[in-house]
Amino acid sequence: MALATRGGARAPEVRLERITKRFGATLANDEASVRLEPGTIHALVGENGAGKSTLMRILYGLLHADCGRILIDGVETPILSPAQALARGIGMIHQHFMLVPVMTVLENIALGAEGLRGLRALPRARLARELAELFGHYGFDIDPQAHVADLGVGERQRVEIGRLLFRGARLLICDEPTAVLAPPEVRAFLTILRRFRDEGRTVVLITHKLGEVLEVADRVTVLRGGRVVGEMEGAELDRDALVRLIMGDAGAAPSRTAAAVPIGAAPSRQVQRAANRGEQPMLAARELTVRGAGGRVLLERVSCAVHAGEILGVAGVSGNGQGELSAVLAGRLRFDEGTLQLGGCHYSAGQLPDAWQRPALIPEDRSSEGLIGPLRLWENLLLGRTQEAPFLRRGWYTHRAARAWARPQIDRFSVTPCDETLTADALSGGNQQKLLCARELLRGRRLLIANQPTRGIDITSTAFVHTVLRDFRATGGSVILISADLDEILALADQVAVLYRGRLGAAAPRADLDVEALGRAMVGLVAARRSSG
Amino acid sequence: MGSALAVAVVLAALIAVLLGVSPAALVATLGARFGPYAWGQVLFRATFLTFTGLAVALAFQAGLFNIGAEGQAVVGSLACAVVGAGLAPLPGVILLPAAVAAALAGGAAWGLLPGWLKARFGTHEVINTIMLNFIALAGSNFLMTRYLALPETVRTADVGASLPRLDNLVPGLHGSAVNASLWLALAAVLLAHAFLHHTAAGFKLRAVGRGLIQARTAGIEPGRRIMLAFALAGGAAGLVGTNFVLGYKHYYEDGFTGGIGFLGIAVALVARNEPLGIFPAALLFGFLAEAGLVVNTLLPREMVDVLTGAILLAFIVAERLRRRGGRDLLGGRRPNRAGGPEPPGAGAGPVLRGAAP
Repeated sequence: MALATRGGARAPEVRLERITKRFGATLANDEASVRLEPGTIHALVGENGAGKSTLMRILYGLLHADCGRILIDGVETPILSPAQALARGIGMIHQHFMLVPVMTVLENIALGAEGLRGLRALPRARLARELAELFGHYGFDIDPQAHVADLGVGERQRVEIGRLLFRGARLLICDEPTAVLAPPEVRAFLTILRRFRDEGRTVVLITHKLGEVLEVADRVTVLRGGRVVGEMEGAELDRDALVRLIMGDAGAAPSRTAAAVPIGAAPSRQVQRAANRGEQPMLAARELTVRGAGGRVLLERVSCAVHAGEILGVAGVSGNGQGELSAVLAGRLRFDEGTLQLGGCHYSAGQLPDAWQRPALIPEDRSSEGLIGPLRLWENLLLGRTQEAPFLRRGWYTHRAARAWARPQIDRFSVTPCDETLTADALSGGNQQKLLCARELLRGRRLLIANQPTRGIDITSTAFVHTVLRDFRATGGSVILISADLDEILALADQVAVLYRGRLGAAAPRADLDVEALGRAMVGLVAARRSSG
Repeated sequence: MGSALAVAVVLAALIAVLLGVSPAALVATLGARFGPYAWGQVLFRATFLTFTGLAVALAFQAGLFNIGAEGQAVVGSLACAVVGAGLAPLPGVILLPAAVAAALAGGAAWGLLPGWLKARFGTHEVINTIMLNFIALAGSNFLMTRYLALPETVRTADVGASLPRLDNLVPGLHGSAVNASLWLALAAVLLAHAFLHHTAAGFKLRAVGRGLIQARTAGIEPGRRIMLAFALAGGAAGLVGTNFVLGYKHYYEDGFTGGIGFLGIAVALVARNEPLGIFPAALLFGFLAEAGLVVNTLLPREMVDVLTGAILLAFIVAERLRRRGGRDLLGGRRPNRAGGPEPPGAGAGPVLRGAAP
């Protein structure tokens, strides 16, 4: 079966008309209408929570719209399940792949494929041949007999795409596909998208990365608050116009300036970053090694140092040891070899600093590691800070006093709604992250470890978090910023190092950086250099 | 709770009808025969259930399943009787507090054991507590028959002082076993509430119960909270001894616990693990038990157990439906399934993250 004709490559014209979807009290999609033309790369942009994913999940049959309809080639077509969507040639790849790691590529692609039912054996030979043809056609360098567990993230993504192509998908929905890719892989991915478009397929790209949109998109639909607020095509695509559409009026208002939100020590102390070279670093790690279950090495001979008034950026794609690195540098995970110096105290393998010695930590996953959803905002702010809370009288407190203590903190960090009695899970992602930042930065520690602090939050909140981190640095605090977002690292860090497969490369000053080499190091194309002493 | 009760009432009526008894006759019998003595007995039972309900609820607040209230009650009661009898010559004003303290300490010690095992080794407390129940019961039996029981009896010596029965205060309750330990139970409930909601230690305990990983990341050591929770829970269960030994029989004998530890789980569930709800819930189950006795002639006593189970089931279902109506409590991140309720704002796609180490 020749693949180019599998299902026909030409995509149908798909129209979503006045789609409305509610979740409880929240209106996720408000009469949103989009027209997806065949042979285009159509980008859906907007802040987190704008309704882009929801809209596409409705198209893919994962959700059912409350009102509105879907028209395929002019014919009203209710899509009630992903199976129905796939039957009509609509496929979706998600940010977290739906692959079975212990199976081979071939088996994963065969999962759910047509014609394979009941007791019939897998026609392995035929499948292998067709897959090889498919992969070759698109230049995917993947062995169908390889186990998914052995593949890297970029390769797994291509397997996901391959699976959809194999099922004859003509309209591909990609939900934040580049979130897990390093820069060189992003370029390769975008090239694949262009290939699809040239074949006549439709690609829907859900993303918040405007750079990519400007690079590949033919048409852009902007969503805000569940509504379509603008459409742009080809030549008229302009970054500023897009940003204005995405943020609406909020984009015009300036974010809180540094002067308004001093954090930590008195801001009058002007700290020159370079001048601190002579002083003892706030944190110095030497040859730290962490082993996990079965002796597997999670971090290998990691060395780094950060001084007062400095931000050390650790770049790296998710899954290379960031969690362990943040935990061990924050004094919450025991290491097996090496030494750690925190603020003058030295710790060796197996030791952990006391609670009051540990740096503040913004963990990677705010909902499972950072905040406790069912607890209220003031309770979350109190987490781990009962020693220093001024309203405690010999261990007793009243709720009124606690709430009064919490309210100004919530306000200072722009958490909305500014109601300390709400539960943490009632806040949006951006506000949850701001709350987490508030708690950690107000602990009065001089060192902060931030792991993916702006993951999955809206643009305004991201800008706020960046401002807060800069303020912290300006007052002499140190930050170790671990992030998969290279733009963020480049914007904030004074020194940058790359984390790849548990090894940390030597840190280079921002000014001396070769961004291309950085991108390659993140994918391991350049062996990370060991730091020398 | 209202709808659960309504379901239970309907079920009771149904069972009655199926057994050939008219619900009207049941109600009439209850009305006629449920006098002040019966109410006194309700309070008596409720005292037991308040203590054991608290024992389960306090542990649950820290995220722990305390199935060992039975054993903790036994150890506490035995300690109470031994101290009460051993210090017999002393005046009541010294002896009573000492005996109460012994009940508290005995139960707390028996509760601390599974708490320590969990904190140190991570062993599951359900298994530990159930096993320790058996050990407590058997151990008590052994100690009684070998050392503690008076010759030719199955009971310990009388305690030197006792808690007065309430029928001295309220003559109407004449003869019923309810005694001053009722005040202790109420005080315990109030103290537990104050502790959980108005102290730093209680706050940390609740934090560990709602989000162990988050609490640890924020700097709270879970191990100590777990042990504290179990010690408090065990102590509460141990106080059962004040009701039985100090207030009722004035001695200890095996077998009096008869399942109140497990019924405490039901009480805690209905009270949603909040101390202030424990007493009303205890009253409910106490009432059921007593009512079962009163209508004994019409309906077999075992029906009470059926009803208790029915109420629990109805309650659990009602809780589930109530929760499902709102957001998913844990931040709303659940894998995408067709037709399932979806949390808003999950703009970056489904995040299938397990709990990070």
